[in-house]
Amino acid sequence: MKKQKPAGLDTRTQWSGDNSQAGGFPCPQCGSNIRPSLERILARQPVFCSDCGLKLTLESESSEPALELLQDMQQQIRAARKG
Amino acid sequence: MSEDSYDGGSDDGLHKKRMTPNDDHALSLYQLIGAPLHALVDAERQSTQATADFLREFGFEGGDDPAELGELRMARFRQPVRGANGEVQDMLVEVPFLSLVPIPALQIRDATLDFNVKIIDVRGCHSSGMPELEQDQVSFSEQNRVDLKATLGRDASANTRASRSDIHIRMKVNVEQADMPVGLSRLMNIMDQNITTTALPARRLPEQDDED
Repeated sequence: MKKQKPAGLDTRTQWSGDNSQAGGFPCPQCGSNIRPSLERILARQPVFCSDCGLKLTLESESSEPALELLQDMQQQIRAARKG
Repeated sequence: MSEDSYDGGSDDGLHKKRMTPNDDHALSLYQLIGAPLHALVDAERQSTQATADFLREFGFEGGDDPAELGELRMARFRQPVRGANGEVQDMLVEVPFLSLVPIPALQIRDATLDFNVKIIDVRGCHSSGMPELEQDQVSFSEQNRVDLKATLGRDASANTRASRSDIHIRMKVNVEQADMPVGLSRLMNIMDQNITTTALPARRLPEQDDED
């Protein structure tokens, strides 16, 4: 007998929440697109241009409000994945 | 009309039937089919609203006036540039925060609805309430028009008596990241133009400090 699927709402999302879907920004030196990972930014680690190797260091102090928001978003993504 | 009778909401007098109390929730078939479709459209609208809220919250500083978006929220990077004289000139690069984060823009890719329908009545229907039509259209619209009155049916094939007595709508909804809407794409282009590079006060290299 064919097993019947339980009734209900079956949802599946393809939104990964990682930074592959972020727009990125043009490198100030060579113009290539830089798309840093969220983890790297949250760890206050430098960001590199993959084409010219330009190193950009995050100004933690002045970017702090944005970083706090980013931290919140990251936690919510993790919670949603677990949920 | 007694309390346990129901005329199906008919006001045309073409066909009336006394129904059992079980048929109290009879609706036109198009309403039964349309309700979950309407829910899907509403869900898409809510998803779009959530994306707009995300852009407002993460992309802009906000302000005292809730109607105003406020300034673009920026992330700031320091870029060291070595000058010809050996001095390092730090440049401050300001990047819109929205360029750094994935923007959730979800859409329903496909949805499958599966439910049983119990047809309890078939009525003749005329075109009252329809917009004014040309003569040939009236005759077309009135041809063989019927209104099916229906309720959601029980699943007779269910395994248990309890589930047989339940009324289910089985929904399978696949959601995907939507292509970037044109408006959002334009916003991102405008934001790219707001990337600024500002020179900070020059500093000396560490090895030059050692020489001193």
